[in-house]
Amino acid sequence: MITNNMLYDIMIYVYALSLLFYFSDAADASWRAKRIGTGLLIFVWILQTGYLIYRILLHLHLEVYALFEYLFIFSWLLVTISLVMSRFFRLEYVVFFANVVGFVVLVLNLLTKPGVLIPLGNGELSRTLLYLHIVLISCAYAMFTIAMILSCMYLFLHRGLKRKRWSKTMKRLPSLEIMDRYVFRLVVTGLPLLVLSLAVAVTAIIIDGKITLLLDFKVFSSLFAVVAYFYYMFQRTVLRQSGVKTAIWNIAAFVLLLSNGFANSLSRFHNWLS
Amino acid sequence: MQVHIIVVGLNHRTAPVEVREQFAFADRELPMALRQLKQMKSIMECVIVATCNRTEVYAVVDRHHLCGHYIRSFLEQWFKLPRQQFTNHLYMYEDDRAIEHLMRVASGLDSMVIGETQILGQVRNAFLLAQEQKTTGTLFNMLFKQAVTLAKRAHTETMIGETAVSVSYAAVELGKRIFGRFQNKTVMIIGAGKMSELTVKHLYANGASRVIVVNRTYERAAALAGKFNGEPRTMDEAAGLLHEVDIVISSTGSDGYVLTREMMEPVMKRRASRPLFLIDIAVPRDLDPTIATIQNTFLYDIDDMEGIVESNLEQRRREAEKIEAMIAEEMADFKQWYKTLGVIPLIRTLQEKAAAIHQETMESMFNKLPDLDEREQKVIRKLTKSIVNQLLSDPIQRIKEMSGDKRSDEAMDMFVKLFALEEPLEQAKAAERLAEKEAVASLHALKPHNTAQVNARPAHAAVNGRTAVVT
Repeated sequence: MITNNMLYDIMIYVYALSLLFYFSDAADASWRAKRIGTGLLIFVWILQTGYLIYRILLHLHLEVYALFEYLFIFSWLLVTISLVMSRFFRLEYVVFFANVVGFVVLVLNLLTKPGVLIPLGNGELSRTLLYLHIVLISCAYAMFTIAMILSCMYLFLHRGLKRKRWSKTMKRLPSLEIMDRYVFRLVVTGLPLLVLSLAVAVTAIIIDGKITLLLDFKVFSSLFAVVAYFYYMFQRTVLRQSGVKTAIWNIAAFVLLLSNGFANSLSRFHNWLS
Repeated sequence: MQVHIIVVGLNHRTAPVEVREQFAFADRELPMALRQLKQMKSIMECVIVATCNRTEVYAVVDRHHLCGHYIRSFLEQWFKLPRQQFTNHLYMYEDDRAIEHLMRVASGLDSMVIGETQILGQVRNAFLLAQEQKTTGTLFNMLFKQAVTLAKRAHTETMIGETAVSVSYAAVELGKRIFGRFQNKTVMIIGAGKMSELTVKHLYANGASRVIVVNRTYERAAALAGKFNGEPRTMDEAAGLLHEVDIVISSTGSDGYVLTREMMEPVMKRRASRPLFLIDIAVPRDLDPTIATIQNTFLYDIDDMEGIVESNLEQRRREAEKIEAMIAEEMADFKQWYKTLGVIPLIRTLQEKAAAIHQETMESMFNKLPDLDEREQKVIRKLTKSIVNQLLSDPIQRIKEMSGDKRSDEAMDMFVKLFALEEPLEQAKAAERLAEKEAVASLHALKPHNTAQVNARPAHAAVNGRTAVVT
């Protein structure tokens, strides 16, 4: 047993097995391996969904929310999006890498069980706003994670095509144009979610009467991340830069976003990960 | 009676096109050819697979030593060619080798371009035609279905048919890696050449919406443009259109570069984020190689394209190994099925005999016990049926297992003797023979014009199984 909980162990083992099959398909196209991997992933999703519903019902009337649940939601979102992609699009590598991220987050989450409580504010409205903030930011992070994976794949394929290094892997990647288009759509979806989540958080702070927190490091770093993604949009739509440049900028924006997530220790109030 | 599966034929490896074209069956002749072949001595089932790269006769025969000779005679008579002219080009495979050959052919492993998928449809159609002409039986009905199913599975589960093995298809494949789809994409072809024309044809077939044909001579440009609903342009006009083009294919006889880096830099600035795919099929090259250093351009010359083709062929060969493994499994399944073939009539006869005895016993019992109600009768019938089935279950299972052994014939004989199945088997065979005769008679009754068709080919009227044997 990795954790002391049978359900967690099953989730980890089955998720790992699913990844092994996806890896097998990625390494040497195998329709069977992909089917088995997808089947196992669906099973993981069912377990995660059931557990998530249980946790939500359990915490309906609680005033606190643990970091564990937040990370669990993020991992669940990645699995959900990857299953949808697997069903409707031929994006095997994206599904694989998205699930690698999801698996790492899940394992770390289940092993460490970060019990850090995220207080949801004093009033009913404040609590609701913070719930909304958490949901929106989770969705935004999931979108941006997949956009980042696609940008990395874009750069890989672009390099291969430029250097004329033809391989089986390149044949299985989506085209440059499609990847560029999906990255853009993911950012177009994720950016308003990110902006909304920040707006909701700011509103919650104001309602709580802690206006001085608006000058906190976290608020500024979050704004930097928003600006970075807006700049990506500006490069893509107004300057019409090449796909390589926009892909690099998208990755940079994601790194900034991730750093923002890990820099919570510098914040006076948003320091769950310290 | 031991039967054999044989294949006699020639293909692109064993015969040059001048020989193969003499062995081409016209589509309208195939039904008659099949029927005549079936009438030949020892031929119990037959299928003819005739394509531009192969002509093969598959047959189930009751003696393989002479059947190759009969089939050669048939080919000799049908195509009016002396045997010496073609016998060196023929190959003949028997039993396991013939089954393996069929599966390899259907999967595209024996094709000129390994992994091509057209042959699957051709084998399937050949089988369906033979089935329609009633020249197939139990063996080929199973074998050909299995071969076609295997081929479909091979194409689904491996990537053998998915990669381009010609320069023009490789261009399409590369284009798909850049653009995904060709809808709303513009292609420009500079110069005229078979390969570049073929490439444009494939791109157009894959959805390219606009084709611009550029040539020094406007009339030549117009002639080629007409094939693709395209726009003819001169070289001077082409320069002003480059920023609208997504794919450029160049194949002129020019000594110098048709497009240079200096020409392309402003074009790419105008194109902003849109990539440009350039294919230079000419030797010497038409497109300045330094164009490749401009951002967002992808320039491939003929060597690059051929490198891709070679890499794809290599990959197809690796995928073919997976299919060979699948073929080995299918062959084992077929052989297992074939071994159980002889035992099925015995099992069926035993079950029918047991059912008849059960029915007789039930009737006798119900006569002696008339007071039993319907429910009681049903229960007794069900329980006694269960006893019969359980008693027969082990012997049936055992005879199925033993049918695969070396001494399967002895086992089956013993089975027949133990259960006294001699008479029921004879009756079943007689009924089958009668049914077959009736089927043939009704076939002849429905198609009286067959005789007229045979008479219409006086050169072949004398060709029937027995006459061919005598000559």
